[in-house]
Amino acid sequence: MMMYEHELSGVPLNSCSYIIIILCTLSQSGILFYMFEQHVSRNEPSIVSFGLHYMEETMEHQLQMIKCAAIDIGSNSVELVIANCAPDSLELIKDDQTMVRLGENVKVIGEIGQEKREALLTTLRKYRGEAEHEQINVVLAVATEALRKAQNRQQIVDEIERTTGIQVHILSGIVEAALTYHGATYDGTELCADAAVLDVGGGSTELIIVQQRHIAWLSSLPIGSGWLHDQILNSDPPVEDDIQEAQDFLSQYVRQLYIPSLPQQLVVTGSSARALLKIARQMLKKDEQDAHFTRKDLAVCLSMLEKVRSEEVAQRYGVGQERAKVLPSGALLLQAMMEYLHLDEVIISRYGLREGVLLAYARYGEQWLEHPEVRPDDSRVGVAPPVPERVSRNEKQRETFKQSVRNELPKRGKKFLNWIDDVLQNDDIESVHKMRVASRRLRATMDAYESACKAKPFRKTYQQVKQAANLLGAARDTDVMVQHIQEQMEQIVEEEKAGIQWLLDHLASCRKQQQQELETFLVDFDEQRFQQQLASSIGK
Amino acid sequence: MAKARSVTNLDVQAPTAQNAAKIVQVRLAEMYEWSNHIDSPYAVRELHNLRITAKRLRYTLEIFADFLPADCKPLGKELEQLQNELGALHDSDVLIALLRLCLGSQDNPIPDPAMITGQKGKGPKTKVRSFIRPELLSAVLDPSVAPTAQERYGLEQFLRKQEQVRQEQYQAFRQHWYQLQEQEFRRHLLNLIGQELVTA
Repeated sequence: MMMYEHELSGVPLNSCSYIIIILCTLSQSGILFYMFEQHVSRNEPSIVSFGLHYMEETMEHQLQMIKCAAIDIGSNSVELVIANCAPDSLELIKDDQTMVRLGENVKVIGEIGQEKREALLTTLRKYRGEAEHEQINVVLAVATEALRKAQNRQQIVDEIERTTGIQVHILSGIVEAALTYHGATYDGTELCADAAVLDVGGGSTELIIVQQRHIAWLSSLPIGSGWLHDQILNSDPPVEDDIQEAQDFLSQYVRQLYIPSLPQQLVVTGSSARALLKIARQMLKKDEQDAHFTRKDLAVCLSMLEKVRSEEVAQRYGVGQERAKVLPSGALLLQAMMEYLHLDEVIISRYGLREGVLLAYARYGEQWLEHPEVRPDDSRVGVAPPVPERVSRNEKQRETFKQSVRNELPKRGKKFLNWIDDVLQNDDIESVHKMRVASRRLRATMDAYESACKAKPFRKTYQQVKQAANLLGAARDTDVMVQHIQEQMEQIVEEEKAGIQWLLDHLASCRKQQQQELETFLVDFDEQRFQQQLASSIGK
Repeated sequence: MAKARSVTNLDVQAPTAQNAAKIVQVRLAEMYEWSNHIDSPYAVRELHNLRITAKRLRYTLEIFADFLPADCKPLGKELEQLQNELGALHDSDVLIALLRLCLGSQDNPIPDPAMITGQKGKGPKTKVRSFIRPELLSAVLDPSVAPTAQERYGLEQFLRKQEQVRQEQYQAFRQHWYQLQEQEFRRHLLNLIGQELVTA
């Protein structure tokens, strides 16, 4: 039996004494105890303390620990966990996951198709078998965004129950968020009381803001790694333009979120986040126990994911190939949220929705889905910004050249102009790089659409873009050269370093001059006039 | 620099997909115009122009991604890799030329134009001008801040290493280029967009 340490402290004991504790009454809520001090030279022990110890946690752990299975039917994967459960602890016995990508089907045809349905049923039959093998009677199955959105969800749920005996609860985004919070933080010994939780799922992303270990605000966003992959990042590996589009979309989307306070700490859960941590540990030789994941770790992962095909990612780092396919999207989602929440580091939790389901059942019993800690009242629910409708490929295909120039040129022009402030701030060389890339894309777009434009305003605009591209190119080329030389510095012997330093000093003074020229140009750059000229180029 | 050619046979009222295919066809031809310099490791300017035309083709594929077959995307990725290889090669060329100028300027304060312009372009229309930016030149060629003997030694060693790096970069690029040709990159892309081969 365990006792709380602080309840024994403060009892001064003679060095020749020992403690006798007699338990007098045992009830469901606590234990009445007497504590005696027994001196070795005396016959009569003296009472030093007595009282009623409330030991709900300990007692209930022992008395109510039950073996359960939880199944999470997500948009990317279907996952199983089997554990001995108590209200505040879990002893994990088995853990399994299968990529089914239900969300992919829902996005294309609006429902779960035959092939995915069979894959889902096969997976659930297998999980049912594993639960039976462990002699488990309680199997708690929940489904999230993919089934929430599927038109044939009821048919699927009925079929699952009929063929496997598993009853599936389709969770609302909010209940999913609340359960995820309970799961992701239950083992959080190093978490502060206000640690927020982010679940990067396949079809949705849940954000939970916490105050003093209670949910203060939560929201379920209808965007996830699988969703982003299917919408924008569907090349393998993703192409730069798609990455840029995804980053722009995410940055604009999360900006519309209104959270009550910025968290000091963020716990991130979800299979994509865990896979990213796994990759970062291998790439950066990080400690296997360290769950901290920094922006730098994320940048290293993203840089690799942008270049390497999913098949190779899977082989190199031991993640499933289907998971590897959606990882660039998961990484970009996490990046956007970290930027929005002003966090340089997050903690990645091994636990999430499935563990939250088990804990909720252990804590609240059969009514686990109705409890206020699982189903928060509306006052705590944040509005998820709507996702703009993306023009479908078929609609796009019907666009004439004249129509598409009207969409493309202003879009590229805006992307180019968006970087001006960042370049003028001059605190990150990446801004110059990004603006240079935007200027090149704009030029390539103008080259492509020249014949659909009016010659005179077109030439004026083109000259401006060219001038900006040259100045940005000069600054960027020097940055690249400096970076390259600095990298070489580490391998250079001491007597050669003076020469390299001489070169670096001269390059630094040159870069300063280039920045001044660039800033002079950008300060004078009339954005409004530029946009008007671009619009005149296109004509009515 | 290799300037983009105007694509003349477009119909602005026709579907974008149709016009996009024609633009890609021209950009692809522009890139291949520089391909006869692949085996000349020191055709600095021509390889730089190949890089620019590869980049323009890649951006064109990206701009029209919604209008072109999805199978074009992996080809864009190949172009990106090619562009990165040629980019690294060009960066080395600039650095090597700059180092040579730093080291040569003490003995000969007026730099030899050939050192900074590379060979005269033999490909399609190209202006011959320094590929080292003037502000970079004036920063390292200022006689009042010439390197000391010890600094010169470091620069000489660095130049040698850089020349080696450049050799490796060229080999990596060349190998990749020929891999793409074995895979019939040009034919594959033209088939995807349903266009015939055009030459300059």
